[in-house]
Amino acid sequence: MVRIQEKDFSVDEEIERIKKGSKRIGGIAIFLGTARDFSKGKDISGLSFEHYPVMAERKLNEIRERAIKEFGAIEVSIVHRIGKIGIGENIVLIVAAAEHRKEAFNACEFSIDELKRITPIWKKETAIGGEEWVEQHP
Amino acid sequence: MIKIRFFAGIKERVGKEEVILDSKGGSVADILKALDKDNPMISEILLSLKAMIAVNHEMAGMRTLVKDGDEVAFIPPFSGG
Repeated sequence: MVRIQEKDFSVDEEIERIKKGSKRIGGIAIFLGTARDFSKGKDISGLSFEHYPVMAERKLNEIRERAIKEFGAIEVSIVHRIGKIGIGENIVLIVAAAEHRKEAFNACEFSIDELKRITPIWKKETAIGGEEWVEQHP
Repeated sequence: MIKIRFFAGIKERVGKEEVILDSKGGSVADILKALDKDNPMISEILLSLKAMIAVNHEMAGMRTLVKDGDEVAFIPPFSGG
């Protein structure tokens, strides 16, 4: 299950949804990305995200399928927000469930790394000096 | 007809979200040449912003062939997450 949406998400609800899907789950790793107020030496007052519809969802689905197939996860959920996001708010959530912690951690790390690498989503930062699209980040 | 789309910083610099090109197709490089005729500087903008190319929602290159009805997107390096 992957989603790109404007509204905020509930981490608890995403975890519960995954837990209900399989009784074989023994470990869940999550990555929650949030909006911070400082970037490259500048105070940031807000963020906004834009995506390429269809392609972005397709890439997230590919990532989910690979995380399950190649890293042994039972289920992986990926949710990314778009639109305006305030400082401290949620941006992205990865929930990776597996029988054991190692598979869950690996699937979670792979998913967020690949999301950043291949998914057409772009971040714009708002600072005192104006707005700026972020080209790349670690 | 080829639909050309621009995203994020590229969209702002080009000043358009999309262009419908009256073309039967060719390589992406051919499409770009045709775009330049009506939109001067577009190649330079794309180069300066390190634009990548997607054809029908898959990553592509300048030599990728495009046919009537396809969608070509010029997209900046990703920064999601």
